[in-house]
Amino acid sequence: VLVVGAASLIFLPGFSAQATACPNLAIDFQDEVWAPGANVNAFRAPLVFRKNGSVCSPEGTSSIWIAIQASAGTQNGGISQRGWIHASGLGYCRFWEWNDNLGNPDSDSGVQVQHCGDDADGAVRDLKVAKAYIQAEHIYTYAIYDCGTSGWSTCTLEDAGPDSSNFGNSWGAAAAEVHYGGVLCTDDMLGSQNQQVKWGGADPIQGIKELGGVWDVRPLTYQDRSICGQFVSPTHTDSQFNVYDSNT
Amino acid sequence: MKRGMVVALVIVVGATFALLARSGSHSPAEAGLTKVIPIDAAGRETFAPAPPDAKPVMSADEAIATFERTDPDFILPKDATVSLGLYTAAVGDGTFRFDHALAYGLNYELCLPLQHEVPDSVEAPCDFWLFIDANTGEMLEGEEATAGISAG
Repeated sequence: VLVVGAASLIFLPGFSAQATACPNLAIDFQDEVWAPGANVNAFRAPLVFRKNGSVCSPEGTSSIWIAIQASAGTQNGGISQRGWIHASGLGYCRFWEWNDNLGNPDSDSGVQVQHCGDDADGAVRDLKVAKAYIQAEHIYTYAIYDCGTSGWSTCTLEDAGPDSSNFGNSWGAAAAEVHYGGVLCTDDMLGSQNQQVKWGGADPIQGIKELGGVWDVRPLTYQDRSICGQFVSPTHTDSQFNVYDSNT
Repeated sequence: MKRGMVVALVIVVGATFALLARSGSHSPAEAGLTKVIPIDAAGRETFAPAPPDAKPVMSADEAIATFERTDPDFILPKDATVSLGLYTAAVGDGTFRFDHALAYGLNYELCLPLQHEVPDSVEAPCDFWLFIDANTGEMLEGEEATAGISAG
């Protein structure tokens, strides 16, 4: 009886093995940047989500997202982003976040998590950030949209996002990011070799340079922080970006 | 026959263990809202006291248990408190994601890192709120309270 009871405990949700502690967070990322010069008006990509790996406790995270961000800020400046996150204690969630002033928390929306536990491994969502005119405030913002799973025709405005005038020059970005504990790269990036995270593909990564312009595939610049050697990007073309963690 | 009874007993006891462990996530302490709490720095999200005659379909424990079934990776921290209130989240264009939604607000310390690079002087906010629909147990959304945080 005790054996059966113990076995029940082992297979219960929420009773996973103790996560690695993360006392001093460090960041690692890989991204592709859509930078046609001057401002970007809109940026979008279908994004394949993967549920795997572990993150350190209590605040380790691994996320994948698209964004429009300031290109001239000392450390990214303003940003408006939408994607998925694996967060310690919360699980796998959709998220959005924006910031309009050099990363200070008083000008940051904070990470906004939604639909934790709702999405399956392999889910694909069409995500978009685009400049929008906010009539009530007479400003343009970088608004955050989730266009669901059936193309770009119907999109939900999640948040109006930050005032775009604070960004200066901007670019589009598709990124995988990990906040891991201290010296060792103990957290896993989302995706494994046979089940990779993917932006674009048949429906490519696209942007609009000018207000009123058309969606366009342009050369993407690949950046690899390369702190954590197990984070791999086998595909980084102009229309598709793949990443995975070789440890998972 | 005896063997059948033993098997049944094993199943019952095992299931009991499972249920006890499943609800082993404790009941959070009730905080009780007395004033409107601004959540984000932009003023788009607030959590306000529920009207005295509010009658949620679910208790806080029931709502949390429902959410835990949807999100088995969720871990309820021991320091979490819970309040019944009205959650409002403005989109910023005059519309709302949630407009005075009756919700349980779980509040606890979680320093969720900002998902972008920041200057070294900036620390992640650590005052986390998770809002769960008080009638269905569905997650509304979760976020760090950034209202009132000073620049790093």
